[in-house]
Order: sequence, then structure tokens, then C-alpha cells
Amino acid sequence: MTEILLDSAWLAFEPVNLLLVFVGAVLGTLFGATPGISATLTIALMVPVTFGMTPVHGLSFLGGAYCGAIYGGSISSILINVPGTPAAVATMMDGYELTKKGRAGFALGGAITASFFGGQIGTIVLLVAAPLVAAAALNIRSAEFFWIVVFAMSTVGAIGGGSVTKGLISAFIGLILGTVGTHPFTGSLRFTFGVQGLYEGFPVIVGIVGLFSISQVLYLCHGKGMDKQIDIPTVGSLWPGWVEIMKVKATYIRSAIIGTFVGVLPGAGADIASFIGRNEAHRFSRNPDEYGKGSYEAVVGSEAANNAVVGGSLVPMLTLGIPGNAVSAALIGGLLIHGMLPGPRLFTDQAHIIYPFILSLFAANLFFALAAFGGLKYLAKVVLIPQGVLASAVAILSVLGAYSYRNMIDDLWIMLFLGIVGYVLRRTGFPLAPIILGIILGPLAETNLERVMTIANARGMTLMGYFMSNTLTIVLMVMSIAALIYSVVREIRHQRSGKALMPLETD
Amino acid sequence: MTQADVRVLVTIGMLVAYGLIMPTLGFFATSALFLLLHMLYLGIRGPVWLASPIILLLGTAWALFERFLGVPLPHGLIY
Repeated sequence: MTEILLDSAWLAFEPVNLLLVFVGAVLGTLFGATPGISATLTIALMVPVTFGMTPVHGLSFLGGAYCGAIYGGSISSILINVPGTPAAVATMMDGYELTKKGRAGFALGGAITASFFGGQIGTIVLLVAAPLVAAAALNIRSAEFFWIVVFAMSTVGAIGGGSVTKGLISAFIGLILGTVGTHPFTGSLRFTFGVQGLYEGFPVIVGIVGLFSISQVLYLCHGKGMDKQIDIPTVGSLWPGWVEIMKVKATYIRSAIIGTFVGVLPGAGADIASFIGRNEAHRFSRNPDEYGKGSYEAVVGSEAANNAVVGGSLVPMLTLGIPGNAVSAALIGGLLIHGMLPGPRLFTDQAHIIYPFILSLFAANLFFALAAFGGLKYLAKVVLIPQGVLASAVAILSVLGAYSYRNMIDDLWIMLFLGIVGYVLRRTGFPLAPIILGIILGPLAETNLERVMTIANARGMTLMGYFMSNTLTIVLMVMSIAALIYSVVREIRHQRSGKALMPLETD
Repeated sequence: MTQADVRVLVTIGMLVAYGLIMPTLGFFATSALFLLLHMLYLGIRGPVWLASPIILLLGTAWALFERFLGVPLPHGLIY
């Protein structure tokens, strides 16, 4: 184990790799800071760039972009009261209040230090937990794996904001889209309508580019003309000082842990983590009255949580192939173009790629922090780009992303189709992350279920009888049902109390 | 139907046209045309804002995909 880590450190921290991580982190920060471009979009648009790189270089570059994009959202939240990414909505409430008091630098410094700290904690957990989960996952059999997938899908509505019903409907739409393509056992074609590009099912990266980027392009077209004059406030000193940091050290640590945990859960991402991080900080705070009026602690509470999500979300993605949120679903695209399938085997067969990637995340967190401390004035300039320019540019970037994946013109039409579907669903309040989860997990669930049915048949057992013959399967079944009941109860309680659920956007 | 809805529908139409024209005209020419027309349609004015996305985006795409990565993008009548 130590040998692998030492070898991996050489690969992760060699100059070229560090340079790529740096470029990824800075580009990610820029994209994240741009209102209208989320972390998911950032990764989806950058995956094709990694085509010609070695797997380690490509993944490290994308990892840098992931960390940078989640952090970058806070820049525009704090400076101009517009969230750069959905993950930075919670930061806006107190960050912008501080800016109004002329303390923008203080808030920005809090966001940088908290994002750095949260990111590193998440990465440490990833480095420790992922190999253990992967080792355990090697022994998982089809029946258990099927129920793990069902459990993952059933947690979609358990935490977070939007309506549980709509979340679950989205998940089912995703599962239905996941049935398109070649049947895993019989090889017959399903729902392809003669489109060659659909023979292998909806390609993940094209699906993400369509659902997230094209729907975002259409959203960006709502406005017209040049934006009103935006003034970037003066920033001042960014370093908050050890005294301020130590005063709220408990918040740094608590939110980092919350973020990591939320990251692991499928269907909940950085946007939800930052709200929970802020709420918990508020609950434990010695100065709860300051919240909403410009609290440094609140900024730390949300920002440490959202960057901790990065490490957490990669645990189930790398070890089981179950993405912890939409961004890590887009990262699966980065694995697939190098011919790597996420799952426990990555940690044995491709350890020389996965460990350098994980280690490079430590550098990524350092680099976005350094870039922000050194050049925030210049990074912040991206908020001046008019929406119309963004809309057109993201459209062309999406075409590049979708087309270069397989060099198929069909993918352009698949992208456009899913983009329109995504736009309509978003306008009617359906979350998009469960759809992409369904597209990825549907085929996984089906393959395993088919296998279980074959085995059960051969043993002369009914399917349910076979499921009931295994304790772990029963536990997973109970957990899935519990997650669903909990979600429904939570929604009913929220409806009765008439309180608005936290705003939910796709991250 | 609000003005925003009209802009969304026109954008979808322009993307469909993009997909139809791209195989014959080539990626770079079609993209430049789309960027210019779409930005003009959305009310973007001024040579800097209109020119920089075309030059930066397509320049980077050309350098990256055609030169550095060796992933050829579809060429057509005009490049």
C-alpha cells in the first residue's frame, strides 16, 4: 500500500501533472465564478480536452477543474450577489452582506480558507475510505449490487430541497432513458428508432452536455441585450488572520465533515451540502443573531461544506460506479474516454492511475487557493461577460463536447433533444441530477437483476425468495424502503408547515 | 408567449440549423456564423464582445483539437 502511494506521489506531483492541475484549477475557478456556468457544466465541457492526454494527466486536470469550479462560485456570490454556481447560493446570504459593509476581502478570504480546508478533508476521507470500500465491493454479488443501486436511487428525495415527488419522477425518467440501447443479455435493440448513435444507449457525456449545458444555454437566452453596468467592489486584504480563523475553527471542521458525508450520498451535491453546512453552523453558533447580516462564520459554514463534497462524491463514483452528484457523473465521462469503467476493479487493476488522481486533488485545493489569493482581482473580471455572449459560447462548447466524444453527428441531435427535454423539466421544477443518475444506474441495475434472475431460476427459487436468502440484501431492501418513507414524511411535514424548502438547483 | 419564450424557440431553431449545415460547411465556418448571428440576435453590440468569443473560442478549439490533440473536427466547403 505504501509502495503504491509513493509511486503514485511521483506521478501526481511531477511538473507536467502539477502544471495541468494548476491550469485545471484556474480554469475551473474562472468557469465557476462565471454566473450561469455550474461545476457540472465545467466538467462536461472540459472532458473532451483531456482526450489526447494520458489518463493520469487528464483526470488530474479534471480534478483540478472540479475543485476550482466549486470554489469559484463563491467569488461572484460575495462580490456581486449573483451565485457563480448553485453551490454558492448559501454563501451569498452573508458573503454579500459583508461586501456591502466594505469587507469583501474578509468574506472572500473566509471562502478561500474554508474551501481549501474542506477540500483537503474531503480528499483525505476519499484517500482512506475509497480503498476500503473498493476492497469490500469486490465481494459484492449481483443481488446485493442491484439493491445498492435501488437504495442510491431511493435517496434522491431524502435530503435536499425540491419536491420529493418531482425528484422521484425525474429518477424514473432517467431509468426509462437508461433502457435505450442494446439489451445487456439478449443483444436486441430497444427504443433506438434506427438512430445508430443510440445503439450503445445514451452516451453519458452527451447526455450530460445536453441536459445541463443546452438547457442552460436556453435559460441564458431569456435576457436580451448587454447587461447593466456591473461594478466590481474593491476587495482589500484577503487574509482573514489566524485569530478570526481560530475563532470559528469548529465550523471549519464541522462543515467539512458534513460536506464529505453529503457528497457520498447519491443525488445530493454541493448545493445541498452548503445549505446544510450553513444551517448547522447557525445552530451551534455563539452569535446566531449575526447570521444574514454579514457573518464570517456563515460564509465558512457553507464554503467548507461545498468543497468537501468533491472528495466525498468521488468515493461511491470510483468504487461502485454510483456518482455522488451530477458533477461526479460528468467525471465518469472523463474515465470512459480513457476506456476506464468506474468500479472496485479500478483500485486493483488501475491503481497506478487512480491513486495519482486522488493525490493530485491535494494539489488542486492548494492551487485554487493560491490563485485566488494572488489574482482574485483578475479572476473576478469574468462576471462582466454579458449573458448573451455566454449563451452563444456555451452552445459551441457543448457542440465540441458532444461531437468530439465519438465523432458522430447523431450525438449532436441526441444532445439537442435532451437539451430541450432538460429545459422543459427545469422550467416545471423537476431536478436534472436524478435523470443523469438514472441513465447511468439503470443499465447497472438491469444487468445485475438479469444475472440474479438467471441464478434464481437455475436454483429453482423465485426472485423474491432468492433476495430473502441473503441478510445484506434484506438490510438494503429495508434501507431503500426507509429512505422512501422518510422522504415522503419529510415532504408532507414541509407542506403542512407551509415553509419553503431550500431552493434547489442542479449543481 | 413571452419574449423570453420566443428567444428560446429561435435559439432552438438556430441550433437545428447549425446541425443541418455543419456537415457541409464544416465546424469552424458554421460555428463562427452561429456565434455572430446568435450574439447579434441576443442584442450583443460592440466589436470587442462580438469578435472575442469567435477568435478565442474557435482559436483555442483549433489549436487544441487540430494541432495538440490530433482530433480532427469536421471540415467542409470553407475549412
